[in-house]
Amino acid sequence: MAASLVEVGIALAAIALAGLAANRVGLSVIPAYIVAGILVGPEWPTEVGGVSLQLVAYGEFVAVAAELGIVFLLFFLGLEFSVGQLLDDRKRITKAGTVDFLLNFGAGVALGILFGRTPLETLLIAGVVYISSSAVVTKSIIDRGWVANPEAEPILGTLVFEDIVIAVYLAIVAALLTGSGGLAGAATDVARAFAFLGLVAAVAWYGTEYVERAFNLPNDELFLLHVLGATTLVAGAALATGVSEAVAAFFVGTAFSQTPHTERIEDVVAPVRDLFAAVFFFAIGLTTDVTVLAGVAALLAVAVVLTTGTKLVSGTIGGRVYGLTPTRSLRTGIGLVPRAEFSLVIAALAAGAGGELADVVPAFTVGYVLAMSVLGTVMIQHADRITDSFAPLVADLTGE
Amino acid sequence: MRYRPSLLEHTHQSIRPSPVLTSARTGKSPKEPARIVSNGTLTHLSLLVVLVHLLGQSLGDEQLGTPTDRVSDDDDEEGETDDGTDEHLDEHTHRIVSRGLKLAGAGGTAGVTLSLNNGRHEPRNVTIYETEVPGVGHKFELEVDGNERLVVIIHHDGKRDVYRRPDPDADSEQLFSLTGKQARQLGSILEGAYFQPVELDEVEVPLGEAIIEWTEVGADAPVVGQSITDCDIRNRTGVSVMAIQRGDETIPNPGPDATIESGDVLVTLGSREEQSVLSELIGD
Repeated sequence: MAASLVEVGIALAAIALAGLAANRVGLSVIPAYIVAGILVGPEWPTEVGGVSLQLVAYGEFVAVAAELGIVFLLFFLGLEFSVGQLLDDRKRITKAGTVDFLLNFGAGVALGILFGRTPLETLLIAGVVYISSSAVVTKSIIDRGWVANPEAEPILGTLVFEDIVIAVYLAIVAALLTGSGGLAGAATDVARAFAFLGLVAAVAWYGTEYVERAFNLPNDELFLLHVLGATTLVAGAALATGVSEAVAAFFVGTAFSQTPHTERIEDVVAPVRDLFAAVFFFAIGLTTDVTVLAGVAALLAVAVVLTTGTKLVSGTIGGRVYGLTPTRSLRTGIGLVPRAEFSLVIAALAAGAGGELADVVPAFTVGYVLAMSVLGTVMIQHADRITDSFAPLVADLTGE
Repeated sequence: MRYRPSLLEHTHQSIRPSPVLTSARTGKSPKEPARIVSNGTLTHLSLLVVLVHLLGQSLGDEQLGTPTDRVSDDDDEEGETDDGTDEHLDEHTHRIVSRGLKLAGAGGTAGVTLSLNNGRHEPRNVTIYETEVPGVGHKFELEVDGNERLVVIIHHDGKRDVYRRPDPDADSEQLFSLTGKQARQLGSILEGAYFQPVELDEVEVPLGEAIIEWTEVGADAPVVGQSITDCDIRNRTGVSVMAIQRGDETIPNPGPDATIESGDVLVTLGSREEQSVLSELIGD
């Protein structure tokens, strides 16, 4: 017991120090947590100056905590998913979101075909490069003050659209990965996944009042335990029936989003999400073999350049859909460049599938997320240089 | 001093609220906007009050249901309360506020219109845009003068960031950031309602053993009708009479000839014992 307690202690301390370092240099904590995992994990680097760096193994505790990280990341995505916002602004959100999907998911598909990947790998790569990071984007636009500007509208609107796409996407991909194979089998798996999710969604939609009453609890401790218990149980039941636990958690989150409990959850449950999510990112680092990255270096390099460009273009078009000036439209594109947590959720799904898929896609995703979360944050910090150079071009192209 | 209902007339709907809806909430014709009593000088105050509401808005509802929601108005010229519109409006306002909050909780962009009847002139609509910022909290934009906007971000943890955007093309500059508690204090200062109660135990008047007392002269007191010299208060009790309060009038430093009448209140300086002797002498 003592040994495992020390191990968990080292893991948490490494996460804490990495977060501190990232904060100091003004970068997102997510890549820092991954790097911490790589450093103290069992893969390279294994030692420095004769001192072992294989301090933390990917044990059962880390595995379960990381799984809870995925569950609560998606739970909060569902909780903060704003049906009202979507419906109020559906025309613009749909336009901007569709452009975003076509360009970026399309770029991922093109990459997969170009580099001769299997259809399933291509599907995963497309998802990884498509979805922007709510966490990094939101934090960056707050730090930059853009949240109070009009460009916040298309940025947040596009993220809402991506939320729905990713829920559907995860449900399909999870069914395909765990499925029995064959076209008929895949169809059955997808159908079963949607049946289960339909059930959860129906409860979320019609059971609002019941959820509201059931969680009307006198103190925060009971409230926390009830929310954690309900969410984890539903997610676990989903996984046991071969459905994505992440998507199930998403729908549990939406069930709460219609109740007055949202604020309390943001208060009481968010720290739990932060803890488990940090362990999830750290665990991604633990399981990453950096040497495998060499095998996907070319794919990675092309992906970083291509999908930075596609996000810039799709975001700029999104900004124009919202009637913003060239500068603000460009900022919309820059703001959406960071990719992080949801790309990693897709990678974790791939890692669980086994086979060659489980090597290539996670390694690619870790490299990609490290690059894009840092690049995206830095681009947002230095956005003025980009907008100064490109705003006239955008104005010309869109005829203003 | 009369309490008026809130100056706020909230309507929640998507993006652009229309005057028709505003009036629909209060059951009035579109021509006649919600009766919100205000005079010219109050308009600026009203803007501040809006800011106060934004700063003080907590999803716990309790902030909004309290009397701090009301704004006092010394101007009694507008007698528009006779038809009971006030209560009506008040109810409406509160109900709409809580509905608005629920809406916000469910997510959505909502506009809030404030109709300020500027001294019976043309009403002026101040529009507040509310947007949910997923993972952060709520954003409120308040039109100030012309194109200028104040933007308030209320974080889930209660933190408030206040930005100012001078015109649509400019970038928002952050003015300040407050905790929830600080925001409520600032809000009450802006609203003119800030009041810090003074702890009586801590009041120190450098009078040594002496205290100041207010004692009413009873109807049957032996001193009624006598002058201060005649009744010899100083020698009989030890207190000095500093003032006599008679109805609305106060006689400061009453002379030796001043007479004491039934119902007067004597303001006297003396020790606690001396004050109780006086109380026995002149009280009922």
